[in-house]
Amino acid sequence: MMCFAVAGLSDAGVRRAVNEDAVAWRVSQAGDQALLVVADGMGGYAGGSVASELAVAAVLEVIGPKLEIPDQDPMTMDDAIQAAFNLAQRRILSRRQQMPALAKMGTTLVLAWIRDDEAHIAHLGDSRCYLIRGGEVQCQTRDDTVVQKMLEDGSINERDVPKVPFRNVLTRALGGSSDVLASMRRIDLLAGDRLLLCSDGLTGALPESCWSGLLGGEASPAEQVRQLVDASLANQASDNVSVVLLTVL
Amino acid sequence: MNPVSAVLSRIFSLRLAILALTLMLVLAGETPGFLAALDQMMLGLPGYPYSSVPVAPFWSDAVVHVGLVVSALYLVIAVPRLGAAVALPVTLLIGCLLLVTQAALMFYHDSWLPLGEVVSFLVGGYLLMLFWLQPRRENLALAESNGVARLQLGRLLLQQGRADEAGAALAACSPSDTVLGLLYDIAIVQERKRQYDKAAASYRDILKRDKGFRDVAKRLAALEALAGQSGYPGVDGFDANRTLVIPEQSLSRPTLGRYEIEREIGRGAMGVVYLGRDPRIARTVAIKTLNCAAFEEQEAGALKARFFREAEAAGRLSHPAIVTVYDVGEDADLAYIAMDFARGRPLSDFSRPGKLLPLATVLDIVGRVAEALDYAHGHQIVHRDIKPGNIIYDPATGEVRITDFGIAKIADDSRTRTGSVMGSPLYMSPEQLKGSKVTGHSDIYSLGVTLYKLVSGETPYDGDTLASLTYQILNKRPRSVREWRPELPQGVVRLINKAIQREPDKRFASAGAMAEAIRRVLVRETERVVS
Repeated sequence: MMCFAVAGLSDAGVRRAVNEDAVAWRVSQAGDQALLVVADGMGGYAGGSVASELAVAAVLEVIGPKLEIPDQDPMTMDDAIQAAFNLAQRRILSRRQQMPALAKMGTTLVLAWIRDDEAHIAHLGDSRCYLIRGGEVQCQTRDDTVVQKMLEDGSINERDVPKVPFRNVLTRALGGSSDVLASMRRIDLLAGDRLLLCSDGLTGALPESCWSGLLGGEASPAEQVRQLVDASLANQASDNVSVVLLTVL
Repeated sequence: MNPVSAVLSRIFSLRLAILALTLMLVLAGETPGFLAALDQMMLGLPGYPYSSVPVAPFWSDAVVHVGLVVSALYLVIAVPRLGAAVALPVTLLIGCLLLVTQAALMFYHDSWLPLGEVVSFLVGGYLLMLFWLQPRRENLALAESNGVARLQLGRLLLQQGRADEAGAALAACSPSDTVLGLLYDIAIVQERKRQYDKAAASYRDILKRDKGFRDVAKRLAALEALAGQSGYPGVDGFDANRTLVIPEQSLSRPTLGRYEIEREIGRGAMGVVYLGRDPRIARTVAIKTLNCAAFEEQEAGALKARFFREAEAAGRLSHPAIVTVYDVGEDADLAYIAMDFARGRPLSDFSRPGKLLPLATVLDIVGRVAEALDYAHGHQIVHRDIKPGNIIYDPATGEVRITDFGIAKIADDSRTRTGSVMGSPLYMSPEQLKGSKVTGHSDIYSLGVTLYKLVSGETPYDGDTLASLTYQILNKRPRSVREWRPELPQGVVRLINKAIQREPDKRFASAGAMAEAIRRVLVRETERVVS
């Protein structure tokens, strides 16, 4: 059986006064399952943090109890994941209706549910999940952004990304779009692999190429997460920075 | 000042000492012997006919006591009022009168009234009061000049728009009519600046000093009623489009800088647009606002700096078809641009099927816009957001004005993730969407799409989401305008197609060239219609 070490951290960054990100992680009592969640809220002062917290709470509410159930059918797990997204959407929409000040709030959501050597990754928006194997960093999610679409259809190349006027605009998000069908994938994990969930604050301030030096070695997961966040803050991270890291032992 | 310190500060005063002395003399009852002897000797000298001492009537003690008390009151109350100079002859006169009375009583009634005590008290007290009067006069002069200075400072601060500080400067002034009047002005200014809490405090302050001052009570009541409303400013600073509360008539009109706000006339990407008035020159202005409350401090600062920079660049333009920027400023959490109020309606009102303008009118308008753009490009200023909504057309006079020069650039960067605030990229050139350098050619493209919209009511691309629209603009061929209007003259179709080429170099070489081409088509069309 595989064992997991998980750690996470969320920081408001050097420019923002408010942290609109929310993170959470759980490991089952048996130690065979783990759940990692990152949400990046948006929509004005209070709205962003409310939306991201609602989303994370919905995920913990739906999937949390299921972590203790052994031998689940992978299809059931995917259904539970989608149920969590749906619940988060309902909570956010109903809160938006109740409070006019929150009428524009929404959030991204990325989660990874790991059972033994299989990881179920689901997301909506531009918060990402990376697999770090050996020295290689591979993004496991495809951003739901206008920029991503432009990159894919060849309209622009990577160099143009920082200049595109609609670069921050999401094509899909909880609260922001009616379609909240999560993009899902399953990957097999090997001993020594790492899974990293993050908000765009991390990728915005610290290119992926800089990560391998900070990840790995003998440092504990908590220290590695701290190092990543510190490095992004040293680069004047303008957005909130959130990271959750799982190491397969 | 608390009561204890108030008592302490008064207890050590000369006037109190005099009153205390009076009380002592009255209570002692006995006239000090030497004084009586002196008195009698003085009166005895001018040949008093009787050798025996005259008898004092039974009421003499009472008279002396009353005399002492009256003298003390005179010294303590009347002397400070009269001033040392006037009080001197008055005191001497009273003293003489008393002596004469005493002498007269003795000679004609043969009764002895020991008024010498009173006279000595009066004269001695007067001398004592002189020591008090001099420093008091200096104090009074100081207090008065202090009050005048505070009043002037208050006026000056108010003129500079620092109403709160002006109020603080007046806090220690005694409540004269001038001071209250100035406090009233301060409250009005605070009210106009929509600092309703502060204005209410100022009004309460005035009422504390003078209950019936002007219409203060009414204004305060109106403010308190306003505070009860849900749209009360300051409750939430969340929405960029949150409007100013324009209160009912009993309150003063809100102001932004020196402009009085009349009403809301529209909502832009970054804030609300108001119709305002410059009271100094009675000019009507349109005021665009940027609500910084929706952003965090550092972001707001950077955004504001750009807002001003762009507005100043646009302010250098002076062209009959470009809305003139008069002024930029900042007031509380709002940054604003005051510009010429262009009468008429935005062309977006004429861009739906069934509401389109005649072709010749459209060509004339677009031609004039192209000329104005050529002028702006000559000044190295690119509009970046040409679309029907940013062109104001007055059907009555035929005047055309381009508005919002340079402001679009700021909106690009504003933090938004859902795309709703930024508006749609329907009129954006491909190079703009890709984030490449934006030049005058981008304005030509946007004007081409505008022309397309004005003649057909449609746009060359149509996508239900930002992403699909972006994809189409960058990768697809535009739908021909003939699809919507098959009878459109070939010349107009060619104009549009040349303007909306994907490659900037394939478009018109300049906005001026486009204007010329439009004129040629217009002339041909008119000739065709005539012949």
